[in-house]
Parts: sequence; C-alpha cells; structure tokens
Amino acid sequence: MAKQETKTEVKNFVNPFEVNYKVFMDAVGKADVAEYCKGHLTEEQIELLIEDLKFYKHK
Amino acid sequence: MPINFTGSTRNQSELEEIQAELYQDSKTFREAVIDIQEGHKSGTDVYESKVEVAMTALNTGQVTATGNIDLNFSNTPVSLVAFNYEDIIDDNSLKGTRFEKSMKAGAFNTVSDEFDKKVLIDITPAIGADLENKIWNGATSATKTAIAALTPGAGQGSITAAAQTAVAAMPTTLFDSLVVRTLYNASQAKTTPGAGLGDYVKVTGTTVTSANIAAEYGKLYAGANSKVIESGEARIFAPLGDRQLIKVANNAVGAAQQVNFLVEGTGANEKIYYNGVEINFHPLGATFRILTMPKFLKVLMDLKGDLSTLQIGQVANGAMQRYIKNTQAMSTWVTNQRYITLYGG
Repeated sequence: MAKQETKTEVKNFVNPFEVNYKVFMDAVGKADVAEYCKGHLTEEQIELLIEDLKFYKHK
Repeated sequence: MPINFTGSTRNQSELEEIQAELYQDSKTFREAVIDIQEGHKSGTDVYESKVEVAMTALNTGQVTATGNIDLNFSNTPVSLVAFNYEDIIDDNSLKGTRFEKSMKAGAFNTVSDEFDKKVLIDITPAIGADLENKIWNGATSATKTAIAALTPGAGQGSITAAAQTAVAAMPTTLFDSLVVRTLYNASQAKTTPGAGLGDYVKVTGTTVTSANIAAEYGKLYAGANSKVIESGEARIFAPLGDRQLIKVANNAVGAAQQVNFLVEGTGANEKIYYNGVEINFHPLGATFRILTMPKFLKVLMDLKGDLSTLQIGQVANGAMQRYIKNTQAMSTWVTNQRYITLYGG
C-alpha cells in the first residue's frame, strides 16, 4: 500500500537507467533520489544509483 | 700499552649485495596473456568483421537480393605513440663509493663495471614496471578531456560517474591504457562508429572489499556475454589488490566462510579462478575489472625486444658522461567491444 502511495507521488517517473544523470537529476529536482525511485526500481538499483551519484559533479 | 689513534674511523666491510628496489613484474609482456602484436611502426589498420544471417522460408525461384546475409567489416586506423626513456649519467659521481674499485686505471676512466652490472642493469625492469602500469592504468590528456565531457548515467551506453572520476584521477600518460581504451575509443566497429564511449557491457561497481568481493565478481560474471563464458577462453583482469582481498574473503572463519574463489598453487605459480574463469592481476585502478576473451585486448608495438634494449654510449666531444636511451612505439587497442564486460565502467 505504501509503495502505491509513493508511485502516485512521483508523476512521470524518469528512469535513470534510460536517460543520463543530467536529465534524471532535473526530473528529481529537490526530491530525495531514494524516495523518488522507491517503487520504480529495485533496492539494488537504487543502491547502485545513489552510490554512483556520489561521484556526479553536476548536480 | 695504550692505543693512541688520531683521525676518523671508517667501515671496514660492506654488504656484498646491493639492496635493490622491488620492481613490479611486467606480467603482461612476460606471460603475453593478452594479444601483443609486433611489427608496427607508426600506425596500423585494425579490421573487424561481423556476419549476420536471417533464415527465411524456402525459395525455389531465383535468388534475389534479400539483405539476409549481412557481411559487415570495418577498418580502424590505430596510431602508435613513440616514446623513450633517456638520460645522461655522470660516472664521476661514483668516485668515493665502492664502485671506484672497479674503474679502470687512468683518470679518464670513470665507468664502473660493478655499477653497470648491479645498478644500471635495473633500468630495464624499471621500464618494464612502468609500462605494466601504463598499459593498465592511465589516459592521455586528450582522452581525459573527452571522457570528462561525457554526461554520465546509470544505464548501458552511459559512463558511470565513478568511472569518469576515476579516469580524471588516473596518471596522464602518452597512450591510453586498456581500461581507458575500453571506455572510450574511435573504433569504426562500434554500433556508433567513431570517437565516443566504447561498446562495452557495463556493470556498475562499488568499492570492493573482502566482504563484498565475491558478490561483486558475481555481478561481473553475470553481466558477461554467455558466448564469452562458453568460449572457455574468458579471463578476468583485476587490480593487483584483489588477490589479497580474495584470499582474505576465502579464508574468513566461522559463519562468514564462503569459498567462492578457487586458489591453485602457491607463489609465482598460483592461479585463482572465479566460477572457472581465471583471474589475471594487473595494476588496474581499484575501480575497474574486465571480463573478456584476452585476444580482444591488444598491445600494438614495433618490437617486443624494445622493452629490454638500452642504448648506452659516451656523450660526444670529450664529455666524461654517458647517455642511456630506450626507445619504443606502442599503443593499446580493443576489438569486439560488445564482448568486453567492464566492471565499474
């Protein structure tokens, strides 16, 4: 139930595995990446994403 | 009767063996696991082919142009980089050391046989160690700029931000290392030919420790193309430090123990495998690991013997100095990139 609520909160989800980080981060805006992706990506994908975004310099 | 000595004392013995630096073994050239191609001066053309066929229902009539047998081939020119290691040495500075004893009589003679045999001889292994590093870790300033300009992303077809950062931190060298060639190259055999991101299979990495090394190698293995695994020739090229992490992981005690890596032999003969794929350890940066067929990783060079060829001679015009010069021409290249899995790419 909580997962569905999260999904409805993020409209027009942009999949970070289909676009580059610039497009993704623009879509995320000021939201938390983990919250934004919750329900749309697997736990492992979110973990990898957050780990790699630590190196992304154009946030 | 007392001994009355005036003056300074000096050592009356010395260690016979000169305690030399430990040089990184140039395994790439010694074992030639990857494809080392000689006979190229300034550049060479690399051809790649790929045939695709499509089955269609029986046609009893005349064969027409169907496009169902697609014979693709491409040619990429690869330039070799000429470079050298060179310097002037002044043997006069050896006077007053143990090496003076092996100088021939005559004030003009300052060359020490012992110095040549015991110190100067280490130039070649030092060059070998330097090249071993540069083949696996380093990028030209031009490639660093090009990779820094890429927009990273999480999916296939994008460089990870971690890889971009790692390349920026690599030593700036005269030719791109194999890792960097995999990441970025101008191959005409890629899906999008020309300068740009390589066609490698990307496996997003993380910081590898003894606690997660088995899981991370699992990702690398699972990400590889099954044809590469089935070939029986697949190899993993891993950072030197992974050998220690693997053994620490394998030797964990208690509930944590999981022997995921097969270790055979000891010392120089030791071989380590993950799921039957032999691991070769080279000075890659800690971010990267490669799984592929070794023949897809190439070092192009003029002559392998150039590695160990030193020109040594007297400097002209009566100078009491000697020049030392080692000259080489080299480049790295990658082919069949779609079959190269790059962990951390």
